[in-house]
Amino acid sequence: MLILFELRLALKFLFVKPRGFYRIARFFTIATLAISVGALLVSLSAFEGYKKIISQSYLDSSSHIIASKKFASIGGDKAKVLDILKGDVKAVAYSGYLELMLSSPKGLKGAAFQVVEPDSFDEVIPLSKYMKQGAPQCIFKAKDGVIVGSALAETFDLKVGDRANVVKGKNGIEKLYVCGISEFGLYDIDSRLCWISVDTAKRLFPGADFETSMKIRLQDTADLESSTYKLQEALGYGYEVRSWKDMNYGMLESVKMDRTVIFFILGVLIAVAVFNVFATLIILIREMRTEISVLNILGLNTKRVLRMFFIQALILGFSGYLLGVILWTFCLWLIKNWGIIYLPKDIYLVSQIPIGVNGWDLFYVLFMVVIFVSLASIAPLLHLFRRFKKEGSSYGVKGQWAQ
Amino acid sequence: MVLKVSGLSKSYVQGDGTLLGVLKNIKFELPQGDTVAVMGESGSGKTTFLNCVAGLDHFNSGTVLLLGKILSSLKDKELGSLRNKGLGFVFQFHYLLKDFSVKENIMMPCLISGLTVGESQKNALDILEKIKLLHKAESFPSQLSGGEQQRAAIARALVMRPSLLVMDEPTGNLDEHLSDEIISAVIGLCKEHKTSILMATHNKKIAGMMNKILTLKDGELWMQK
Repeated sequence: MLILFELRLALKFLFVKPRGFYRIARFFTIATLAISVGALLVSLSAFEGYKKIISQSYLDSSSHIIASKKFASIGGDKAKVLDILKGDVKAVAYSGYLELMLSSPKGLKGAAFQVVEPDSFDEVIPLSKYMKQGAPQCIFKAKDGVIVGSALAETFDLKVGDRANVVKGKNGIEKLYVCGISEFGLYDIDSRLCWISVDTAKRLFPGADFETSMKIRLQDTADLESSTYKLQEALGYGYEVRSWKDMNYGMLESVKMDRTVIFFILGVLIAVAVFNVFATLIILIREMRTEISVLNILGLNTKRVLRMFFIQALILGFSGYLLGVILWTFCLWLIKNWGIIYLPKDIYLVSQIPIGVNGWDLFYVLFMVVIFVSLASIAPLLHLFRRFKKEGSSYGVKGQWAQ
Repeated sequence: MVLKVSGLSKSYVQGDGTLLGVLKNIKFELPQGDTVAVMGESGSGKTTFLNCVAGLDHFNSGTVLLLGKILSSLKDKELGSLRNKGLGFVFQFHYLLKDFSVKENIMMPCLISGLTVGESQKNALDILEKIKLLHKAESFPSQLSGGEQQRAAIARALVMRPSLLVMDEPTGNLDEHLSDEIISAVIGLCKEHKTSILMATHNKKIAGMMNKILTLKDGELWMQK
């Protein structure tokens, strides 16, 4: 194929024997592009990781869909829900919610107590995945057992086997037995969430209703929106049905928005780096004027000469991109193994930069580089085209370069 | 007929805006296999003439019929193909591509035409053998002497067996003995392939080796021999 010839020429002129100032220009082009590509990919990976950890933690601590009855208990509606969703459902469990104060000599702190029933509890909320110490079933086995979030346990210096003081308002203080410590990795959850059984809750507040909501885990998350809608429609407006995405909409949208903004800001950085491709091409065209003329005289027509330079621009862009990907991989390795950057977890919810890889990001960034490089090539190639038009093929072998 | 030129005129705009006529209404014909030398003083327009008839430069008026095609009507792609397959060029300076070996330089026109690497290599080695430069096939231009560089340039010009070889002061940088040797070799190769030669030169002895000698003076072409 003829294009292979242009490719071979382009590679030869670019890498085999670069000369003069071009060598420096080539280095800066590839280096700046690599740094900007690397920076963009690292940022996108951080957002991807952040999104993943937030999504997974919020989802696993609350389940896919939560249904509740307005101003009444939803207890007794489990069969109805199972009938509506049929095969879409993996598990359903009743749940209640208490907000109480934990106390210690160090002070008081509010905590959200999830009241759960033994049946299908671990299928609805896969707490076993997030147990730092102990097992989820301990709250059903031990008397007055409680699973405490790791950050909360740290605040009160609680360990498995300790007694946690729970303030019941006017009713005084109850002591619960810490049988496990959970850790979702998200400060927002780990600093406020505790888990107790329905029996323990009923002992604390006899006569209270702890079947205030129903947590539903689906077989396939792709059915989330349709199942939520279907359930709401079927149950009617005396019920409130919300998916975990609806409940965390603000947080998820904020991450998405931040990611988009970063993509554009660092995309501009890539555009600036690509200006070097423009400068390098101009230098290359000037330094290679004799070669260009000779090749043209030997029969390489103008279109093919321009194609050769365009291929060179693409190779420069791709080299920068490739080095950027290598730089990105190295940064991910550093962050994963050495942490490097630590964050205040009460602000960012996580203590280290989380990392997630989305294959499409690599494609989007490559696409961006190709588009920018193509745009940056237009002016130099047009300059060369005009030179041929104006002065003919022999301009380079005359040793002239009219300005 | 390899080349037929009629009414060829070319002028340059000078610094003060006036026109300087370099070629004036030139008529010229070059039959297949014929060899012609164009002589004239420096600045008489010999190079401009060669560049115009070979399609390397634009001209103001006239018609150039090269290998049966009117130059001014050719598109860039057709002109490239015509130069690649029908024309060979040798300049005063060798203009070999310094990043490529002698063999790669000579393969270049073949590769441009779309021949495979194997075919191109075979053609290059054949012509290098004929021009007695086979032992330098893998050398780079900077490793060759002046005579060898010019021989390599001639080999590159002839590797596609063109119908017309255009040479612009091909021995200008060489001593007399080497010049005779190289031009004899070129004439031999061109006879073998029935290639016509159009050469601009100052050297009367070299010019005398051609069938015809023309002189370019005041923008007009005169028959001398």
